[in-house]
Amino acid sequence: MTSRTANLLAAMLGRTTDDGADRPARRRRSWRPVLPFIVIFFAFCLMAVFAPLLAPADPDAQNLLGRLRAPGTDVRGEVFWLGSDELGRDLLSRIIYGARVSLFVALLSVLISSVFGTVLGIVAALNRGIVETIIMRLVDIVLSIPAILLAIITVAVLGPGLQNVIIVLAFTRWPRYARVAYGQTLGLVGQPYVAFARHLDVGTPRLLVRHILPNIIGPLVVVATLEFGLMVLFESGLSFLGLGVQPPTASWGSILSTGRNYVSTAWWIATFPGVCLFLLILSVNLIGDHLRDRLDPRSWR
Amino acid sequence: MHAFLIKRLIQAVIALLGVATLIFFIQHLSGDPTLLLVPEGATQEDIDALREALGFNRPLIVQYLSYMGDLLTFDFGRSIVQNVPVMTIIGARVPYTLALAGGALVVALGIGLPLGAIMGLKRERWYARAAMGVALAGQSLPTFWSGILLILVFGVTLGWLPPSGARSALSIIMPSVALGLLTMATFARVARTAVLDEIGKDYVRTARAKGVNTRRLFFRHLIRNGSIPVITVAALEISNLLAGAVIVETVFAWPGLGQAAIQAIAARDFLVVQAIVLLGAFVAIGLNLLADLLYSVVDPRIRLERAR
Repeated sequence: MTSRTANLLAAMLGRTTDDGADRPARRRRSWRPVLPFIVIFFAFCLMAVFAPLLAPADPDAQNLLGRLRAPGTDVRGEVFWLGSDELGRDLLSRIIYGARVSLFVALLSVLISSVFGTVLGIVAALNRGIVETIIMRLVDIVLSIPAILLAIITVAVLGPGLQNVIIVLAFTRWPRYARVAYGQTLGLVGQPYVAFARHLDVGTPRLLVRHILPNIIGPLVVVATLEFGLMVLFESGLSFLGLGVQPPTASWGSILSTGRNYVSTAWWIATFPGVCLFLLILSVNLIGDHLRDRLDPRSWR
Repeated sequence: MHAFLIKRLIQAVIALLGVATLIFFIQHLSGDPTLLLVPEGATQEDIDALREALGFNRPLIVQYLSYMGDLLTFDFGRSIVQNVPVMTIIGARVPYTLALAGGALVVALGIGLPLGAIMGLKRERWYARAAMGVALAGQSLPTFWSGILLILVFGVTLGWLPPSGARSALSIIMPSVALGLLTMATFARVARTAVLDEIGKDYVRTARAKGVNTRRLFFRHLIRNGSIPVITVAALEISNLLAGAVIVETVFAWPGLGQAAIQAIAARDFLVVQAIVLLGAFVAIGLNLLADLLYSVVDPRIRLERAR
């Protein structure tokens, strides 16, 4: 069944489908206030993609003569624009490469957990009964453990490292998507066009891709955006605790952990990666909040 | 009321059992849980002996039942590394984490609620918008960075407060502020919504028409009625604070449960990690239940709706 037939059927039954075409135009919030944050977010993305071109030095190259130098110090022709760390590595280069780790981990863990969670959520909504009970109870259970604790115990078992951090984050965060996908799909199952499609014996994959997914994708994108900020925070938090990305790979969290130890002698190590982290998380959160407002004006007055 | 209470209690018990089962499953993810418990460099004989002693060579279902049985009697086992019962290690840390969470709650409520009230009462003023900005920024501030900044400014540069540890009474101030800032935004939002909800109601208009001034209206009426959602959110936020304590305690070398968990991971003392995570999850479930019950006591509409 095409969406046009769905619309016709819905019109016939006196209901509207969820494309909002014949609803009164909603007062939409302007994008302008969040524009600077979108720019910041994309700047970080570019920084991550073009890190090898942008970084003035090798992020892992040690220079033992240039340890803990203040920003702007020139050591034998090598300028440390943001200073150097305890092994004489260029902080600016490490921060630029650190953006790669942050964004890569966040992107991958959001992708994996959202696909996994969405599929489980839809499956639960379409198969009422035992399948639904098992999936949604599991969602409740995983969500009832504070996320950082669940991440910590899983890392304790699997061991630290880039790959395991992604697995851990995906494993702990899928229930969020499952809950939203489940709720949204349940709302759709009652719609006449879905019942009609099922009656016409449209196969499940086709039903999902053509009729359900397009109608539930909006709220899921909002969740994914807000989760993205959280994933950046979690990765850096785990790396700060020494449970994330392992040395010598630069991650903002692990640089901050070094900065904590040298806070009385080298303020710059603990300052600049934190600024980046804060700006990235803030901009993702604001973009997510804005998206949510556009989709659901009641959520924030 | 009873139907709702019983239903909610059963849900909480299921969640508790589920969490314990999930942790058991995670424990066996690595294949051999014995390897999580031995210090690096242990010989094969040591590992085999320990596996025998801990019963990890028994069938999985037997292990599961004995694990659940131990949990029911609050027996978290004995730390191999430190050779003391896990409960002893945890017991020594609990007061510190509770003090930190309490301090953070004071900070979060003390700043968040007035901020939220201003945001709600003076919605159009510039300072209300600025307050909103501050609340939003506070939410995006990683605690491990705000913590380091506090150490840098107040501990190192100004030298007003001890930079880390728990040697003096002043030590608790900075960790509490770092942790409290995180949930401050949540309270500000809730307070703002509560004020906006109440301010549109008939009794407020009546009071205004009677000539009650804004101050009296706020303190006599709005605070009382608006405190219901705030109390509920506070119950939920405490579990967030306990989880956030893991990182804050590491930043400030605060000897609480979170620091114990991180140290235990480094020392390969898995039973301690497991006990702390279980405890955190149990407390979170308990607080969740408490929030729901609180809400249903003060607002009968909820229990009617949810009991169905």
